[in-house]
Amino acid sequence: MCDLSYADHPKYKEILSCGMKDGNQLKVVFLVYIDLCEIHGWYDVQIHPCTEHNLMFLSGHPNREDLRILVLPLDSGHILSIEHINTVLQSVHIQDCSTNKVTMAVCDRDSSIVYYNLSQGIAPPDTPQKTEEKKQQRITASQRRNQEVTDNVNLFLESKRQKIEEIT
Amino acid sequence: MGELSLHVSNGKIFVWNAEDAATLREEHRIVGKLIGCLPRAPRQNVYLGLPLELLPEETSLLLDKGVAKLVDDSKSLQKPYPEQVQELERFRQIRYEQQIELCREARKKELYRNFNRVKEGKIAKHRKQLEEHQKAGETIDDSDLENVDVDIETIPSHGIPRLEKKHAMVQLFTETPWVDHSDASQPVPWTYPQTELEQLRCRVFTDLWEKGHFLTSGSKFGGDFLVYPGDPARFHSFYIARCLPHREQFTALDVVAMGRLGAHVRKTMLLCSLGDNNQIHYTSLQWSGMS
Repeated sequence: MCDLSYADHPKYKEILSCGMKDGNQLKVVFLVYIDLCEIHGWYDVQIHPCTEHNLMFLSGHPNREDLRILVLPLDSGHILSIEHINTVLQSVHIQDCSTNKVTMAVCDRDSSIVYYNLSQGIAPPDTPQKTEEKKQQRITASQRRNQEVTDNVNLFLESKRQKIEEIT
Repeated sequence: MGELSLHVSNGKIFVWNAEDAATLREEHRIVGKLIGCLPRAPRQNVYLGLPLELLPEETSLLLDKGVAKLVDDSKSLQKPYPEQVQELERFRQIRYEQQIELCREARKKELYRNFNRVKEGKIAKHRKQLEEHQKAGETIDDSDLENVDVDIETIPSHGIPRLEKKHAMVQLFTETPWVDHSDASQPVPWTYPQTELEQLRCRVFTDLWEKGHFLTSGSKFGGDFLVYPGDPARFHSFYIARCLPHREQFTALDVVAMGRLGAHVRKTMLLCSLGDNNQIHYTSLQWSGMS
């Protein structure tokens, strides 16, 4: 039986050591950290405790060339108000990272996470060029994934065939 | 140009005049909502006509800007005099008679446009008649059957039936021509906005309108207003505006609900509140693209 739990993870211990008073956010911060690193493949994800508001932020680069993005991991039941969001955003300063905008990572009890961008002011919609660019990126990404699956299947079939040949 | 008339009826605001409705939209970026049934297409509600109903926020803005004035409808509509009924009947008769000739002209044009098809049809019909005569025992020369021809010049001038009265267009007067509101001495009271939320809605509406946007009711998209970059007939809306008191508490899950509402229709959710500095504060909520 394996008695390892997330509480033994070195990153969780690091989160714990930040000394935040509100313990509710700790697990959420850890889950979002892992999600960003392992699922979304972000680079250089860092933890930023904010003692003034008793909140922890994360930040990282979605791609090597992308700018650093600020992430606020929250439990789905966390209570907010517009005033609260504004004061928090105005007081948070993280180097080389725009704090006009934050990505909220809302984590449910079953650890599913959903990300929404919150920004101050009226955010203009993407230009048609940008939309087209995103669409192309999505298409290439899905093609690449499909290709990977096909390649792996072929690899597997090939190794199986070789084994059969060896036996006979 | 004088002030436009906004008719108050049962606490709702209507524009009954087509020109006024167009002016509001083209010059003042006020869209409203057409709610009148179209007389020729009564059993649907996709396409509607006058009157134009205005949102209370639209009304407040127009009154503030001095563009329009309120007119009380409850006192102005009375039973018409017999002479007025006669006048209306006479007007309808003149219009009907004018339409008979117009309708005939239109039908002629249509016939000329479909000239070949009409000709084919006529020839086929004529041939069929001849064949029936032949079956009945009449002697008809086969060459006659081959060379059936129809003089197309005779078609348009004959056989176009006179427009029946039941098919004629009838003008519905949406604004009564006999009521003069200019002598109304008492200004009609307008009490909107009253509650804090109503005041917030009005402030947000005016602020976004002053930024050059077109706004319509946002109820179909789960918000207070839909915000368009231009005329709603030509543009999709960019934002769903939702008015929230600055200190109102909500959960992170509520944020997801609002965000999803906008993301599903490719719009940005705009949370609008009145800050402590008495300025409208906007927070944009967008789908992050991470799933």
